[in-house]
Amino acid sequence: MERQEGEIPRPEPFWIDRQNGAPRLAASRHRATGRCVFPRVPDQSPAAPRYEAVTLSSHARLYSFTVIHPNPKTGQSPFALVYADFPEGARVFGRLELPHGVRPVIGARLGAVIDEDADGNARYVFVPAQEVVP
Amino acid sequence: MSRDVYIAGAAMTPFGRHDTRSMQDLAQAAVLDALDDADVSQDRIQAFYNANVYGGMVLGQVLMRDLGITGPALYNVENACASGATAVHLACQALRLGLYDTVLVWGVEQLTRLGGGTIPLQRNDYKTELYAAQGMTLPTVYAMRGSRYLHERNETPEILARVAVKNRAHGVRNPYAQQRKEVTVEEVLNSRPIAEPLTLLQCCPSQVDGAAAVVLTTVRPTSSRRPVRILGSAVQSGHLEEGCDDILDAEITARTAQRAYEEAGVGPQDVNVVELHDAFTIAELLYYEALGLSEKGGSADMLRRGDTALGGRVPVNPSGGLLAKGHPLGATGVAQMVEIAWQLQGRADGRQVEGARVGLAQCTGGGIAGVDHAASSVHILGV
Repeated sequence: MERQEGEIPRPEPFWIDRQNGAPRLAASRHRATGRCVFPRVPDQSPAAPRYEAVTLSSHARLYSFTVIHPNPKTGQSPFALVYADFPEGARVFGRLELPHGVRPVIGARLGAVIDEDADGNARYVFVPAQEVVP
Repeated sequence: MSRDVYIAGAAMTPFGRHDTRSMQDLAQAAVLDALDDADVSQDRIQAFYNANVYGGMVLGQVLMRDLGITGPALYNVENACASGATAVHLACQALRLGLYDTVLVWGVEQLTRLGGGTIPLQRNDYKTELYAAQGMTLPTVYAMRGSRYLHERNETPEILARVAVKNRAHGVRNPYAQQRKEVTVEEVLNSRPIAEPLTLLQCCPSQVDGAAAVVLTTVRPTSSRRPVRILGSAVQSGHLEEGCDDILDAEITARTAQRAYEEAGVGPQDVNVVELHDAFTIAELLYYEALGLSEKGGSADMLRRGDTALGGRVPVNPSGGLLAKGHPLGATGVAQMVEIAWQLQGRADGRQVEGARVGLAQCTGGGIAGVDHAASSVHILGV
């Protein structure tokens, strides 16, 4: 989308990594402990030199979940939230989109999907993944 | 330098919806009752500690102005749900250092003025902001633990419901509790789902007001009541959550308890009564293990055996806990100590743990993403 004159460019979300083409979730690994955190520690943070950048895989395992039931007055439907554990040793919290009637299962394989719209808004969600997907 | 610290006076307002009382009214009532309970005049108090979360700037001075509780140092303390316990901890430090002989600590909150619903997470941090936008709330965090607990321990939601049944049965006996109605396992499980596996009756009420106060002193009380001493007082902050940690390991609580036990010179086996932070049912089970009341993996059996019910080996939350008594954030930690002091002095009418000599109060302060809770406090009291 073409930017209007004087419009401030929307900053890239700090949790997106485009190093290898397709957008992936961006994490950090602590140089001393070797352990990962998500999202990536922002570059401008004084703590940033203590971490190195890590690009997370596109798949993870469901570690735990809940299904939120919004107050009936809101009219919103229930939705699932998960902790997803990535092979790089990072845990990410986020929404899990499931087909109607399907329940989350601990240990299930998940895909991490990044949705971006034409206005530059981005969000990540998890979706069920087939075991055969690499 | 180390000096004994006594709870000379303890008081609280009933927790509940106080539509016609201001936060000043609540705090002043608790403070005056605590001073009266201690038989200490306010001019003997050398420092004041006010604990609160949502009340605003220099709240303590605002609350006490009309009582003329002015002049000496007044410290406003905020540490989320652990604010009250943190204020007691800071007061203990000053007393033990000999800075003061007698101080007054109170906690107060008026959540009904916030309009109800889930208490929001802090939004002043990039990680918490991202996760809150995804749907993270405090019930979410505990519900995740609940799901994992049921999965790993091969339990059903009934074990969670049993916590609510026990604590609400205790609350029936406590005139200071907001919710004083017994419930069954079926009623708990069939109440409105909030964040699976948690249902409404497994979440502490968020529409609640109240205040609690204690007079702390290094001067041994001379009243006929057994003097209650603070044997151990610990506050810790949560470590950065890295990697894929075990969310059933309440590390911050275990670490804080260990420090309090060491300072008190007692162990979990010596504790006769406990008030702990059961904001959600799953929390109570995890804290049995973190406090050493049960072995790791033994919390469900401990609850099923009735060990933690009134009349059991170590009653937990005889006041009804946060689930029944209510959880006015800044007041909670102080109110827990009020309950333990009353228990140790044989003043907990209707819910007395007979022969209790050592009591423990545990409070958790949370919600930021990326740490295993923001704060934890454990106090051990004895007579």
